[in-house]
Amino acid sequence: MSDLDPRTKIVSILCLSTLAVFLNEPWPLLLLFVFTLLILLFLRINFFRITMRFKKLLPLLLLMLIIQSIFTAGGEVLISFHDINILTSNGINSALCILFRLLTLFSSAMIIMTSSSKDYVLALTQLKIPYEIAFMVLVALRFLPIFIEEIKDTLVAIQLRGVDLQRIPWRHKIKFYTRFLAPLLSRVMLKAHQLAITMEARAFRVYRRRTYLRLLQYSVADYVVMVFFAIATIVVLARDFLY
Amino acid sequence: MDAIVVNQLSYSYQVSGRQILKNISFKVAPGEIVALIGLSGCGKSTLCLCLGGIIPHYLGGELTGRVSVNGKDTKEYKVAQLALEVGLVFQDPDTQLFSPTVEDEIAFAPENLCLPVEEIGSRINKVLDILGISALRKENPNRLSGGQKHLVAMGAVLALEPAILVLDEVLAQLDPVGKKTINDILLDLRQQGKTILIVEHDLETVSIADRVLVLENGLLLRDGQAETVLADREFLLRHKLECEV
Amino acid sequence: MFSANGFILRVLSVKRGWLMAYIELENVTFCYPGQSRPVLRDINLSIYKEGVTAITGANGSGKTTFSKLLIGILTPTKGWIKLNGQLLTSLTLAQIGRRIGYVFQNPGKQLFCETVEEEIAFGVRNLGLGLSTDQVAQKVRMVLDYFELTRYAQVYPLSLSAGEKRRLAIAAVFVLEPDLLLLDEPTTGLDPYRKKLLGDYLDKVIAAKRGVVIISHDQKFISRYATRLIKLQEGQFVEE
Repeated sequence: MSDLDPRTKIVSILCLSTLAVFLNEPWPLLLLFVFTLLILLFLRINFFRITMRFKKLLPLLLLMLIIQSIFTAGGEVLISFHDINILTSNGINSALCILFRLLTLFSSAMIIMTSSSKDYVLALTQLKIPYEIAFMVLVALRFLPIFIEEIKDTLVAIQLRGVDLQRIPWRHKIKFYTRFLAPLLSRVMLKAHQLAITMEARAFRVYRRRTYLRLLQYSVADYVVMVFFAIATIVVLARDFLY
Repeated sequence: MDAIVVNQLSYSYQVSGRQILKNISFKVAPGEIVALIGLSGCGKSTLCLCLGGIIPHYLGGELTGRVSVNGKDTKEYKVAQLALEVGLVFQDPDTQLFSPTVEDEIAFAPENLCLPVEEIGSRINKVLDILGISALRKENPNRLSGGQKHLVAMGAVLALEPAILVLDEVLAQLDPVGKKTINDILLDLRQQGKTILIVEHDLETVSIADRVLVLENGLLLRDGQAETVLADREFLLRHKLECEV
Repeated sequence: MFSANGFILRVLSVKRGWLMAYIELENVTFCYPGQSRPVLRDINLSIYKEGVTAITGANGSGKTTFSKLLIGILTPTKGWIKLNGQLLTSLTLAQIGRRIGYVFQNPGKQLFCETVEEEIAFGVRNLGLGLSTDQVAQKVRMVLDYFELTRYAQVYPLSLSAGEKRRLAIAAVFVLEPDLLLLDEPTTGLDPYRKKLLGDYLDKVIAAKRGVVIISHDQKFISRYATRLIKLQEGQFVEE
């Protein structure tokens, strides 16, 4: 499946996230999430290892779920305190919906990682989008890690010059960060500028069109997967709206 | 026709107004290897930027005089059009790599030239082969070491197959094997009639040059045969281009 | 724990005039996450606070990775590194930075202030010597002068040329008065005159009983200044 056309992957991501947004019951959403996990497994992506990188966001997610379950009224009252309903069955329902919905959105987006960014440029150009714009997307994608690396390098350099970032109090820390934000941003801007120069110095945009080393071609598998996703999405949504 | 013509070129930066290049004139014939030497901050890199048209098209400031590469005036042609004549390899490899794999990086220039797929493929193979980096083909350029990045940046420009090649301190970060590889490539390119301008500090690495230009504080101090200039120890010592250690 | 190789090195280090190793590496292996082949394998090495130790090796042999391990930016996958008897992992980057002055391969990455002057003053203020504003300014002037950067005092560091950036980066860590200087490819972008200045400065550092580690290809520079030469080959060190 990792040999699938990037366009097919985009379609499948769109279908999965559409379903995740429109479905409104915990069980179908759980099913959808498990299905997405299976796809990831197929693509040899370890969902849990990647998720662990975001473990700092977990308390936030948990808090959101708790608030959601407390403020949703209706259904059977499970816990109450002096006539105030604290936890209802509807609350739990909607919290679970949100949880599975987020997980599905998050994990389906991971499908994108199985193709190289250059393939998405190809996909965009073959969808008749001007190549200048496609390359802008590519460079923007490449720039995110560069930006993160710049921040890391700056932080390391500051610490190596004798500043114990872990030990300075919060208030000072924020002041500290803002002080280095401007030079950092101008450095990134400079890099972007130099990158633009490099690209043009290699004859970028010299002609109105350009050729490509590889061209994307749909295989039978692509058609099968795309038709499957499209039909499944339409059927599920139609059933949902008819009720 | 001369490959490079620089005629009474002066340039000063917009911000500081400091004059970086002062009334520089020289010509380079096709098939020549010319070395440009001088202390840090003497204007060597600025001159390279002028040859590629990056000055005046990208960097502001005041430019007077004329620069032309293969008959194209750098003021009148866009950087991309000048790139068809002159290939520039810059000092900092980090700002020259933007593709997901080494192969894509090298393919970028030939793709822009609208070459057929087979030709792009054969250029990639050729470049990877002569630079000895075939093993890095599918690697992410950003994860390579400093020296390897330089080789990839060099390869990306070689794939353009320009008539004029300008290298701004590319050899400095390479190990002896890498230096030898690039030297061999340059000598081979000269044989094919290509024109090469190398900017270097190390006098040993410029010994392959036919001619040496010496820049000091933006002035063209000397322009002569490589053997003559490099043998003039008294001159080199006086201008701090060589130091007793 | 007590490998034969490490033992021999330790005996050697005793032979070196009972000099205690400043940095000790034992069985250090490093592998980038997601890669199967380690960049460095089972390294046992002692680095002293004397002379100039030069580390060479082909492009991509892991020299920069090695320097990042020494400075604590990367942590060994296996084995341990001690700095002056203390485990590197128990120290913060700030503590390490005050003992080892590290100049990046691309020094532009370690400059983060708005002016050259500020860049130097930053380290001076972090020394915790309780210097007055005047004293700081005086020290900054001295260092600027020493590294011939005075005329750039008010310039934005990133608009300097490559060689000037490197000089500034060296000056910026120099003010922290580290025991050991660790320079990754320090001669890149330096003209012969500045190379000689760098060499002269290294001589002064050594005379002040401090050590220098340089990672470099520059054979000429190494053969002139290095007192000890180590070659990195296929993930392991060979003493020359």
